[in-house]
Amino acid sequence: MSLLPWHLDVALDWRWPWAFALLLLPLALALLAQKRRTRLLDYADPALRPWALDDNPRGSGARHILHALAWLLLAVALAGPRTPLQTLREATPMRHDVHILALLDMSDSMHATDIAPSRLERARLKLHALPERLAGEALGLAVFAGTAGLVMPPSTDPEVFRFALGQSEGVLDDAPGSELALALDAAARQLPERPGSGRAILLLTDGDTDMVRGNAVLEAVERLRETGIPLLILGLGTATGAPIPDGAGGFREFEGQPWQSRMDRAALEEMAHRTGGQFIPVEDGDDDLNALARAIRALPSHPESGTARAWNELFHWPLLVALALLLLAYRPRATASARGTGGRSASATVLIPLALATTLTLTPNESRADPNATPATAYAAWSRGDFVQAQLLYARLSGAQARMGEGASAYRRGDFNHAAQAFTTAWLLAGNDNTRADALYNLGNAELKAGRPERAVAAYEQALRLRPKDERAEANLWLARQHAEARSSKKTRPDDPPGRKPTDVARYDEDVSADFPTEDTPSGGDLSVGGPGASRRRPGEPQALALGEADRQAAAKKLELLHDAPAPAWRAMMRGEAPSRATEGLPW
Amino acid sequence: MVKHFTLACLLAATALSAAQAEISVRASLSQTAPWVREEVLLTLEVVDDRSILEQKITPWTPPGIIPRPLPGQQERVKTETGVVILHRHRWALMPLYPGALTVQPPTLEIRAQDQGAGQSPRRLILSAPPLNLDIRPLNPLLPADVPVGALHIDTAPLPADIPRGRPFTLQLTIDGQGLSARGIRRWLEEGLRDTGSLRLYPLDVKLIDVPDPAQPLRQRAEARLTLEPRASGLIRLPGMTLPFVDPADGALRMVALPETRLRVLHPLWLALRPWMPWLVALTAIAVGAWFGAPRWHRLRARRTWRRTLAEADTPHALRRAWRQAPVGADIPEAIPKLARLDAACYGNRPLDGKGLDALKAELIAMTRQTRKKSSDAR
Repeated sequence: MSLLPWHLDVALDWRWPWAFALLLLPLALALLAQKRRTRLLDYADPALRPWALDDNPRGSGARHILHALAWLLLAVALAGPRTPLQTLREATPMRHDVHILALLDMSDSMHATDIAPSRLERARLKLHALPERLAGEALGLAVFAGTAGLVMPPSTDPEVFRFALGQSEGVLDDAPGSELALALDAAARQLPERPGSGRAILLLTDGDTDMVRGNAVLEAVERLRETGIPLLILGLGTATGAPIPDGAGGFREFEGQPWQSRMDRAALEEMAHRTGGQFIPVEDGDDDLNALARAIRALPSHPESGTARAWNELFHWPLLVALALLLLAYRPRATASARGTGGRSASATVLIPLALATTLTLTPNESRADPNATPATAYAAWSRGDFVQAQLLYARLSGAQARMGEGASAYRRGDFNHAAQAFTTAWLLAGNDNTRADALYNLGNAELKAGRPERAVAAYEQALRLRPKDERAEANLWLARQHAEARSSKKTRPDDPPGRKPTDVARYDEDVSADFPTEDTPSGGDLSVGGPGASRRRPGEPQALALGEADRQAAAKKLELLHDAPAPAWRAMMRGEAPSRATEGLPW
Repeated sequence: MVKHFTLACLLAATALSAAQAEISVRASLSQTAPWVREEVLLTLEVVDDRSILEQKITPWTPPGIIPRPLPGQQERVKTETGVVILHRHRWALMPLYPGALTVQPPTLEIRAQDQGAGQSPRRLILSAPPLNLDIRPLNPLLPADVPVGALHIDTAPLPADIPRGRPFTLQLTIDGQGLSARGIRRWLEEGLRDTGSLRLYPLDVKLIDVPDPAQPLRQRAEARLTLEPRASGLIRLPGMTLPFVDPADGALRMVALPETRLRVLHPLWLALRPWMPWLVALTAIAVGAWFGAPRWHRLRARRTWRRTLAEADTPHALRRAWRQAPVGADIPEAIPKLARLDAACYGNRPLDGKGLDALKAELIAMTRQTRKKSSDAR
């Protein structure tokens, strides 16, 4: 809703325009004061008014003006002025069809530590976080040092990109140097022109090479400009620079002197601007990535990019000015009485920290990644029977109690294998025997329901060792043994329990249904075999493999110890396609 | 002991010449009753009468066991028959199934120089006799990624001041036995599910070699956690727990890294910190000026007033000057003197020059005394 009373190039919008109604309040107060004064004037003769009326003519007019202005600005701040970051175009698809190839500099100079933890590490972290900010753009990865190679072509799958990023570590360790021109040409070849799709190269480099200003790089940049591939550059490094570690505790030297690696910002900016791209220096926080995401969204593509509505909030500016005006209005004066000075000092004491706090919070803090994932919210989801939500929320929390909650939710959903895994973890992480016994009891239930009565027997037995007089565990242990024996002897129905009738499992389950726990997280005996979710099995859930327990454990251990080292394979693959080195330069 | 090696040499190849009889092989295990998934050290000792030119271990995949090759050793030993070289080949064997198990040590292919002059090197196939293991079962509920062997976890000190938005790394060192990068990563991630205001980047866990002749089975894993604080203040770094099975009794134990608090600084504070002495000084000056200015104004007004009083040369002028008293300069003690002045101005008790000067001096003195009294009271 635009209530802009004057012309501006940008469309100013108001979040809560009704806040302007607050402007009426001073008018109402002024009318009230005027009415009161009229009554007083009627009360006293004009000659007596100086004694009868406690007027304070000095400065009152200026203070009223300051008050009025401050009130106006506070109302403006409350109304929430803002400008749109992007224009919302309706009926356009959300996907931004642009292919981006990230070109990561892996030369030795990227190991300098003027940016923590190191330039290369920071570049990897930025690339790791980048897919979260993309709106459907395809992202690929290429690396370069003394040679260049494609790690993966552009893909819209962020997990594939992150996997490739992880695998790219060390693939160019045996190719010292920094062949930027060669890398740019190779990257451009991986981005063929496609109708209806944009393309760009995202270069992550420190620009510390003797070739960044050379003819070869200039020609490569010119070729990019001619083919319409913009160069987005994330610059890593500082003007001060840092020495390059040599991997043996020392630093690289050039002509007998330690080499100070610095980012060549001017050269990188020139490269970006020549191709119609953008240079963005890497900084602490996410501002650099946000700027990069904006630059990516600004890349042309067909169909035009659909954008989400985003706002640039401006409320803090009128708020700051209003606070400054209030400070001015309440500054101490020579005529102030002791009482008045004290009050105004108090006002100043309140307003100064308020102003400072406002200034400090101009940059919004990002607090918890997911404010909803708390034990209370997870338990609330559990309590209202939303077991899917409860499982998801518990899965984001750490600790034995969270695993108990996750397992309980999975159990109620009928996912007994997942429940068994969660209860096992809870048992291993538990800090006391009572929680261990609860976890083991629930694990027994889940194993029994998952069709593994032998494991259930083991779980119940261990639960009983920790809590010998647990009747529910005893009863379920008896049931699990019956199932185990029945399975071993191919029996289909268990015998009657001693002193119990009938043999029907479902009826028996009713006997062992337990109270719901009072703790914050579900645990203990609430997951009796006859629980609400006990008879359900997820549709399509595969039956457990007919594999012995020992075989299963052995296979799991072998899989765990499997050492896959794909780096040599990646290296060999890249060597097959790597262009030959064009020039000889410094080895970093 | 070395004599035993030569006497009890275990040659599988039977048709060896007398010259080759000094080459022998023996296998031993560090223990015979391990737990399932507890590593056992297998040592294959080759006694070499300095005639071995080359030795090669044939590919070895023992059933029910995961072998992990360990660095070998070589030692010169003096015997009655002369100096021999003792080659020790070692493996860490991880049994996967409970019960009795017979382990056939790997076979060695040896190329040895015959001691007879002019003879070409001979090829020998040596194999030690099988060894027996009685493997104890573990708790069947234990997941396979819980190592069997005591663990020790250590952490490198964290940086003192961490700026918001700047990644930092936490280096963990885990010493133990039967470690795997996957297993350690799984348990560390378990503790890092909820990092709150810390953005967690992918864990980097690597097993590194720590050659320790005294503890050849010992392994070390280095875990590198990269975290980025997304809020300033005291930020919680969650604790991490690694469970393991104590091989002494097969019981479940755990090592834990307790939860800690990180002090994360606001970027604005970091930018301001170098300027803090100046800012504090400026603030002190500003506060002094803020609260001192009214007092200075009052003092200046009083000084002006006193000067006006001193310049008064008639009773009327003095009375006018007294009326220009600044706000707050009420002096009740001056009322009798003012009455005398009023009488001189408007009554019938005129003041001569000396009397006027005396009265003026008394009034001025009162203004000073009042100021002093108010200062004392304050």
